[in-house]
Order: sequence, then structure tokens, then C-alpha cells
Amino acid sequence: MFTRRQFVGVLSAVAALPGSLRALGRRLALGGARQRAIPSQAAIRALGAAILPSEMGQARLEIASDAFWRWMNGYREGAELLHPYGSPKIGYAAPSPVPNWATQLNALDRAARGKHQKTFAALDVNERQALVRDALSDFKGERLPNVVSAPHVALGLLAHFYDSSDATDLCYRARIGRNKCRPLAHNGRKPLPLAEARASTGPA
Amino acid sequence: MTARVIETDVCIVGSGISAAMVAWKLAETRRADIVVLETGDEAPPTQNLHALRSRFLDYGESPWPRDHLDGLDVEGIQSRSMQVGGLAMHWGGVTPRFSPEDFRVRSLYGVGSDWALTYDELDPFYQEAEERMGVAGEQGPSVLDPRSKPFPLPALPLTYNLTMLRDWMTSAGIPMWSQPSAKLSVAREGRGACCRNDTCFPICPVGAKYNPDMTWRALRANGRVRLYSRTHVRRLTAKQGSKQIEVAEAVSRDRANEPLQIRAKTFVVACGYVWSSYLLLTSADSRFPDGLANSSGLVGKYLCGHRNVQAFIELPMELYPGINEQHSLVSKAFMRPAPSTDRYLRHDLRVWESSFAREARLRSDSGELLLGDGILADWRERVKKGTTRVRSYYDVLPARESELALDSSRKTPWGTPLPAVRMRDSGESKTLRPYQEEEITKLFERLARAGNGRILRKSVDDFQDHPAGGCRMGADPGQSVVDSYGRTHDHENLFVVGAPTMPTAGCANATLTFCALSLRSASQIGEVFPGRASASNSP
Repeated sequence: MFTRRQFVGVLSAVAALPGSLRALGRRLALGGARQRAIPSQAAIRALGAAILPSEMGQARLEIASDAFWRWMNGYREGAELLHPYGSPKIGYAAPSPVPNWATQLNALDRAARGKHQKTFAALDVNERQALVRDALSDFKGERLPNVVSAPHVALGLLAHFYDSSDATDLCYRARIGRNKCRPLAHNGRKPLPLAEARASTGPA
Repeated sequence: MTARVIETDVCIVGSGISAAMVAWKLAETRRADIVVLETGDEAPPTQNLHALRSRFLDYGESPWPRDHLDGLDVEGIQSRSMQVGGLAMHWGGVTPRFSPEDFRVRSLYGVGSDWALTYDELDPFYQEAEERMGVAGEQGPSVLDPRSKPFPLPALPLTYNLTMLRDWMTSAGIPMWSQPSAKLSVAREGRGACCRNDTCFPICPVGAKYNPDMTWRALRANGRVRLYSRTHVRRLTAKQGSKQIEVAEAVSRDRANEPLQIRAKTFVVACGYVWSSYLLLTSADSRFPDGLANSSGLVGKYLCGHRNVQAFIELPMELYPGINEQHSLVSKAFMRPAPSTDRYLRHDLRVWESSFAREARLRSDSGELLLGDGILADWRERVKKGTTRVRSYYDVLPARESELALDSSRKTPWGTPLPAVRMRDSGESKTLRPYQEEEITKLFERLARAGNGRILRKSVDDFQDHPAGGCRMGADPGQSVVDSYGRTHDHENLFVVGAPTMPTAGCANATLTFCALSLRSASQIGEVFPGRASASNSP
């Protein structure tokens, strides 16, 4: 395990290296920290239930929250990113936001205990949402950020969900299935209404 | 140190889509030994494509990791891809043909340069490229979209969204049809049919979209080519007392101390618009101090491309973004103006579904932070009207000084100067530019009005897309580098194929034209080798 001093030292050293070595260095330096910092699945579910649309119902809220939790687990610092079109620049995945997010979840829990003498997860949805609003009071943006650059775990979860195919379907109340394998022959038809599509055994 | 020597009939430098077309055709039709040299790594195994796509979707990771070399970052436009398969490992699979006018802009409109061949001469090679790659296309009105044979595969069907948008365009008086694409509408030869995964760019997980690595895998599996990846060609050298090219001097990235010489009867430079000119220039020696094939002084000159004008239009229309976002409508209605046109303007026109300005957001119009049900309710309200993306490429006529130069202040990992790409509009193109962009904008405004919509945003790219040139073709050796087959005027056994040979870049996606030109080159390259009895287009 790296101490904080060692960790910063490694980052400074790898900054001078070529891109691929730099990426490897980031992974080595940050991997241990990331492994320690992943929040619990239950904590993410408690957050999701407070800030995702209630009409999804508990099961789908948990699915969406778990997908975000898996995203956090699968994040790879320093991974080579898709090249920008027409540019020679090569990008690498930023340091993981997860340690900060874990700290923020802990802060939400502390706020819940301070204000309501309960854990964050034990609060009702409105109380949890109010605490999230307080936590986001300094955030002024209108657009949802990219997941990885979300300055708060709540924004990370929202960004992750609203970028999903399921969110698009929910918005349009239709089985669009963006980015999913779908028969070409169904290209021309209007997407089925969501409820009807869920009842149907046929693909969208 | 003694170099390891490889003898062959045809040495192809580069393994991108143009190289793949040349090798495929030669291997199929000629009894010739073929060696292919690629600086980059191997492409990932096909069984990894689904996983690579997932990482791209989830994290924005490159689905083609390690497809570039550190230290080869060129100044100017350059999409990085140095890997078996080349830049076409990233392409979107869009395959319009140029129109007949693209080949005769000087004769018809008094601007730019005519090509050294006509559309009719290239037509059979367009067809061949479409058949080899598996192009699915809809025949447009014949007056706009001439072709001598039908598309090899049925068109990708229009989505619900595109059907709605085509009705809108029809009401504006503009005929549009399904964009031809190298994406299978019907499964064949081990490749799956398109199933709207909608990540054609940058990766198709089912093989519906043609990628050059498909060809290389097949040719290597049946022993038709020897492809050496991670092998960098440093220079080509002419035979003493002759202008014939004799050897490609190379180095393995794995065994830097072991030089490699590839001796061949014919050399084919197929390294795209940057590295083809670059190799010729850096092969300079005492006999050819300005580089190979450069008696005209035009190697690296006349780099060309087309410029992108696009707009997002809001329409009072119920659309469902995500049905198949990468598929589009296309029209050639503006590619074929009458020769009497006062001021030169030719452009294509494409229309896509779009989710622009229709994304979920965090704040309401009043600035309130939205959480829980609030975001969804706001989002639903905002998608009641649809948006579309409209885009036109207009051709930019290149200046002679639109060039690839050698920048001696920056070096490659092998110690040679890095290239610097500096695209320049010709004087006539500079003069025309404001008029051309204004006219395209007026068209977009007219389209918006026809649909009772409004333009949300308009933009013009700074760079020129689908860059080409640097070894322009022509009949006059004083004004060009290669003939219409890509044979260099200066060296009988040296060919340059694909993008670098184009005098102008037309006003539509150019990859199919690169392929057609390469297949035409292959027909000429192959003439000195005995024919094979049987031939198949299967990769």
C-alpha cells in the first residue's frame, strides 16, 4: 500500500514519462487507493432511492444504483481513451473519482446522524433528498456532468443513470433500446410503448 | 550489422484499408508473393470486440488500445491510428460515391483541378469495392446518383425517425435516401448483419461493418500474404544506376538492432495521406535529394479535404433518438450543379436523428435544482419536440502550399524529423468560402422553415475532413506525382495508392473512393504477375 506521500511522489514522477508509461504509473499508484475506497452497494442504493425517479419502483432503482456501483468497481485509471477525431492527442482516464465520492457519502451519513440521529439510509426519501440538496448547494451547473468528472457522488449517479438506455426509454415511455442489439427489420417501426413492450415477448 | 533480407514480388508499406484492397485483389487474381509491413501492433482478436465495446460505452475507453506510437504526434490534423487495419479500424462505414463532377471541376466550373480519370472509369472499381466490403445501399434518383450496377446488398432500412425526417425533406423539395454503408444488411461470409448496436464508429461488435483487419485475417489464414506488424519502414532505396526501387529498409520495433531489408519487384506505398508523402520525402539520398518520386516538387503538396457545415434544427415532430443514430439520410441534389453556375458551390447533404438539446438536465428554466422525479418530468417536457442534425461537406480546393513539411525541430522515435501538416485553401477557395458557407446556412434556414422549426445551433469545423492528397495524380509529370493508377512518374515499380493520390477531396466521405482507386491501382500493379485461375471476393 502507498502512503499519501509515496502516492504523490509516484504521480509526480510518472508525469514526466511517455503516455503509456504514465498511464501504467497512474494505475500502479492509484489502484490500491481505489480498492479501499469503493462505497458499499447499500449506500449507493440508499442514495439512488432518494435522487432517481420514484416511478421506477424499488427493483429498477436498485438495478440503476447497482449499475453505478459496478461502474465504480470497473473504473481503470490511466486507461487509453477514445482518440479525438482529427487530433493527434491521446487521452488517458483520469484518477478515479471514487475516493472523493466515498468521502461524500460518509459526509451525508454524518449529516443525517447530526440532524436526524439516524443513518442516511434510515431516513425517508424526502429527508435524504434534502440532505443531498444541501450537499449540492455550491454546485451551480445546469448540465449533468460526465460521470467521471462529477464533483459529487449524487451527480455521478445521476449522470450515470441519465446516460443509460433505460433512462432514455423511461423518458420517452418507449422501448427504444439505444445501443442495444436490435433486429434491423424493426428499424422502421415506431418504438413500442414501454408498458406494452415490457409485456411483449418480442424484441423492440 | 548485416540486415536480414526478405525477398518478395510485391512489398506493401502500410496495412490500412487501401493496402487491404490492393493485397486482397492481388492475392486473389495474381500469383505473386506479397509482403505487408505495418509499424503498428496487431488489431485485437475479434472475440474481444464485445468487451472492448462495453468499455468504450461505459468508460469512453478506446476500443483499439495501443493503436498508436508515442512520439508520432504530428502537428496539424491527424487522427491517430497506427495498427494493422489503420485508421479504417475507427471509420463509421459510410460509403457514398463521389459524383461525376468531382473528377472534372476545372473543365466544368473553372476551379481546382481535374482528375486524371473520369467517374465512368472508376465506376467498375467503385462497384468492386462495394462488393468486397458488402455495401448496403438504396439507389437514389438516377440523375443524381448514377451507377452502372445495383448495390450489392439491400439498403439499411430507414428508421422510424428517418422516415419522418425524409417526409420533412420531401416537403422542402429535397430528395433523400438511405445512406450507403459498408454495413451488412444481410449476414454473409461469417459476418453478422447490422443489428443497430449503433457504435459503428468506433467499433462494430458483430462484424457487420467492414474493417480491414477482416481481410488481413483471411489472407494470412490462407497464406496469401506475409504481414509483419511492429515493423517500421525507414526508407525506400533505388537501385544503383536505375530509378527502380530495389529495397525497403525496415526495423523491427522488437529487435531494434536487427535491420531488415525487403527486396521486391514492386513497391506499394499505402500509408495514408500523412505517412505516404513522409516516406517518400524521408527516402531522400544523394541521387534523389528532394525525396523519391519528387521531380515535380509536389510530394507532400496539395493536401486536400472538405469542410463541414452543420446545424441542429428543432422540429415539431415526435422523434425517438436512439433507434439508430449513426444511420442517416443522404442527398446528392447539391453535388451536381449546372456548369453555368455563377459561383462555385457543391456540397452533399445528410440528415440524422439527434438528441442535441434534448438531454436530461439538472436545473429547470427557473434555475431550481432538480432531483428525483423533477429531472424526469423536466426532460419529458423538453422532448415533446424533436431535433435533427443536418450536415453538408463542401469541397475545399487546395493550395499548392497545403502541405506536409518535415519539422526538423521535432523527431520521431527513429530520429527522423516529424511531419507537420498545414492545410491551406487555395486563393479561389478562400474567396468562395464566405459565399459557400452562407449559402449552406440559407439552405438550413429554409429547411427549418419548411418544417416549422428553428435552428438551435450552427457550426463550421475549423479543420478539413477526410484529408487526402500529397501525391496527387495527373497526366503531366511536371504537375503531379503519380499517374491515374498511382504509379509514380519517376519510378516505374513504385506505386502510391488511395487517399494521397487525390487531387481534390470532393464533397462526401471519401473512404470508398480511396478503396476504388486502390483497386484500380491493383489492376495495374498485377499486370506484371501471372494470373490465378479462380478468384473470389471473399475476404
